[in-house]
Amino acid sequence: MGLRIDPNARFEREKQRARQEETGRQQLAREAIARKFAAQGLQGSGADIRITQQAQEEGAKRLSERFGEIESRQEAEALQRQQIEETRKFAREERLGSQQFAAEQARLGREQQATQFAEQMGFSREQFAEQMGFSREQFKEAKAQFQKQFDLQAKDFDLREGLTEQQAKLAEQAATLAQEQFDFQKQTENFNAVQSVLNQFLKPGQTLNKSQVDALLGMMGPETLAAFPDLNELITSGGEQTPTQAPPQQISDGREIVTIGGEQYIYDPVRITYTRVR
Amino acid sequence: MEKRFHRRYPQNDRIYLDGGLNSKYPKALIQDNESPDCANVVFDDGAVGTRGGTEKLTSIAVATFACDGLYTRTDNDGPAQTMCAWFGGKMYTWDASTFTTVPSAISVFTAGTRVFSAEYENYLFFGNGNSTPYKYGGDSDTFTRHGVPQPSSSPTAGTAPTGTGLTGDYLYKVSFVNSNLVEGNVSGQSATFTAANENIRLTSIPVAPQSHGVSSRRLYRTEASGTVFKRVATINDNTTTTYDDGVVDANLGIDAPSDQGEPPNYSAIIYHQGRLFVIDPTDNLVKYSEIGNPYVFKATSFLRIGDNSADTPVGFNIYDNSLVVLCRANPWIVYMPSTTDSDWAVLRVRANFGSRSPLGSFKFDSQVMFPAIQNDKFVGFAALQGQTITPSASILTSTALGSELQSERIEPDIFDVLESNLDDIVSIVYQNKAYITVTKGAGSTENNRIYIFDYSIGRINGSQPSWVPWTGLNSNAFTILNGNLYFGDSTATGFVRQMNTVAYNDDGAAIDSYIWTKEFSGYKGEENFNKDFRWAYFFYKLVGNFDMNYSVRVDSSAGSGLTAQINLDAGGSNWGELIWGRDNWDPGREDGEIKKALGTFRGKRIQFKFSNQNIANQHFKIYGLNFFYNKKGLR
Repeated sequence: MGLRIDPNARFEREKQRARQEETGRQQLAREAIARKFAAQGLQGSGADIRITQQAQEEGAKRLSERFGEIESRQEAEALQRQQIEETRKFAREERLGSQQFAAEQARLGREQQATQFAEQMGFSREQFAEQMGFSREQFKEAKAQFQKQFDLQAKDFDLREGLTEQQAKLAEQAATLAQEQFDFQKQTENFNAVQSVLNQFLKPGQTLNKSQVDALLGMMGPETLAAFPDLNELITSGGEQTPTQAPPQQISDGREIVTIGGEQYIYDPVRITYTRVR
Repeated sequence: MEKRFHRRYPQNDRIYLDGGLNSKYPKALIQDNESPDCANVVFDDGAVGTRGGTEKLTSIAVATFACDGLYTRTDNDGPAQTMCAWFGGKMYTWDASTFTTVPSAISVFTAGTRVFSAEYENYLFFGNGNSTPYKYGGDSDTFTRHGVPQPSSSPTAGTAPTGTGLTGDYLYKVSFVNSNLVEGNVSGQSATFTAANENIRLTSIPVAPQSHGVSSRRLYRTEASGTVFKRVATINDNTTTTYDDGVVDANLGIDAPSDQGEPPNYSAIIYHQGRLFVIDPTDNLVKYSEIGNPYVFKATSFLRIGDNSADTPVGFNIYDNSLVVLCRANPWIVYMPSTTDSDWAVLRVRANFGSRSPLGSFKFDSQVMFPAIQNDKFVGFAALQGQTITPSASILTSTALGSELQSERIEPDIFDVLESNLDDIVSIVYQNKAYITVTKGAGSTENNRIYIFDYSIGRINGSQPSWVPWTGLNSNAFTILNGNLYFGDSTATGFVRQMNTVAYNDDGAAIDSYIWTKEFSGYKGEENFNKDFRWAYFFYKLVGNFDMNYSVRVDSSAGSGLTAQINLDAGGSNWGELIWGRDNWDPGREDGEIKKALGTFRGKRIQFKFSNQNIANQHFKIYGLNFFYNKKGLR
């Protein structure tokens, strides 16, 4: 990346030029006034002082107006620049976040299938729950890794882009936004995991007793439950048939074909959807 | 062939005696109409005669002080005039019969310190150079301060018992307003008061002393948490000390005034072009009031004239449309093509004289004359004269009517003026004559002589203005009231006197009125010839039933000469004494001409003296003279 010119420098130069011009004008005015009053024998008189002072005040006012005009243009340009930066940064973070999530989702899918396989091999529900808890820890760890990586990238970005303090603040706000997006994605993942469990263990029309529901709520966490107000209905209405283990098949666009309960579904790790294959 | 006997001098016309004093040159060399020695005479109608008398205005002294200032206030409502006299630091007014003390003008100034004054907007403004200046507006007005003082305290703000609407931090200021609705500077600000949806009660609103001439006050307040003071209200008295403020910010008035300064403690003052110009002796600047507003002197309303060291401003006069500033080393003029001060021009006058007499200058014949000093020595009286409306340094010069100085012919008298009292020289113009009072003679301590500078143009031979000293008059200040000339005593008598009265005495004392003529040598070329002086013809006015003296001496005799008398009785019948059928009515005569034998006077030069015999109520008036002589041989 080549050297970038400080966009404020141009305005500082304009200000400097305006100041120099005004100083020159002031000097000329002062000399003209001094000549006039000297010719009239009024040098050092009150009128001399007053007229000179008025000229200085007019000059200062003129300079202030010119500075104001320059600063208005500077602010407008800064705002425009900031909007462009934010747009670029958002797009960049979107892209990074999506890639990260897709990779993580794929890994989780694989782990989920491994869990299903372990269940089929005789693991109890408690073991499954532990496994799921383990998965959440992994999620947490992944999130921390992601955050760390993001911070590094942001720092690197700041360094590379030479952002000002204000821009850094905006970047921080953008990072927070990305964090919220990530949390939402995590909740979605939890939901999917729960849905998956329900699909595995519940028969159609079967209801859960309180301890079972509590266990599930414990797995999901309160934020997941709050994000999906219709989850109770899902819990009480039961899930699909118990999925059977089948190795996932990778398709070209990153989606995978998974077999659940003898049915084949196309799993989209980006949109986090299962579409039954007809 | 030239006649050697009975030679009449002058052959045509007469010798007139209106040339005035010429004490500089020998008495044989001066002009025929000049006098080497004269006193207490006037030159009117081509004649010379005894001056008028003086009379105390009141028989009771105003005080036992010398007069520090004497001015006349003319009311713009009519012809009424008031004489204002300063004695012992107090001002007295004359009401045609007595002097009355102006109660509020007691001890505002210092006894013995000269008081300066100028009239503008129906006020006389007074200053003495080291005390607060005042103004006087006549009997219906009080004696109050010239400017509008700034209040020395600020009001106290608190919660009003009723009312709502004000919330926030507020500050207050107050200003005084004089009876001419001119506002002074605002006070310092009050302590911050934080209001909580309430009205604010102001207490301790400053009240001005009566001498400040304040008739109303104005309150100013900031907006909530603001810094700019805006008018809240006007209190139309100088007594109320509380005010409940419920004016919301949106209803506040104009911003508080600034730069409404008072005049300095000025030492000289004059009115010109809608302004008062004063000299501030503390910084030697010429300062001036706002145009049309003599009460406010803004911070930048000043002129630097002179060098603020040896050449400092002393006094003022007006020349055409220009302000004349007399400085100690040089006169200056401030040419004023407009009323805008930045258009003015200060020009140094091409003159070699300065002045130390703030009240000594006067105008005559489009000239400004002033007591002149050169190298710190008093050298006489010089006049400024220019020829065009727009003066410049090149055309405005010290006039030269035979000399740069108008007073060259009385130079010995000038050099005898006490230089330590030059600031006491005061002059006034009255009936085409300038009256200039000075302190003359070593050992004198106050003004003791008046020089009359007669520039009247009705004189017969049209010669230059004349000078004559008047003695026995100790004048410190002049004024003209209702057409009459007055002076205040320079001695600690406490009297004001009217001049030029019809009685020929000074409060009963004789006027020593006399004039010596030039020492005449006869015709040109006969200066060295001896002569027998035979006859003299005197043409005089018959002024009363008493005698006048005439004296004759020859060849520069230092004696008093041979003295004889001329009766000045107009003759004629006296009303109430003539008897019908027995006496013939004689209306009498106005003037007389008499031939006097000069006896055995022989010499080269002859000199005459006329006097009123130094007797009270006697006077004389001589129009002219001729004399006859026989030309003898060279001696």
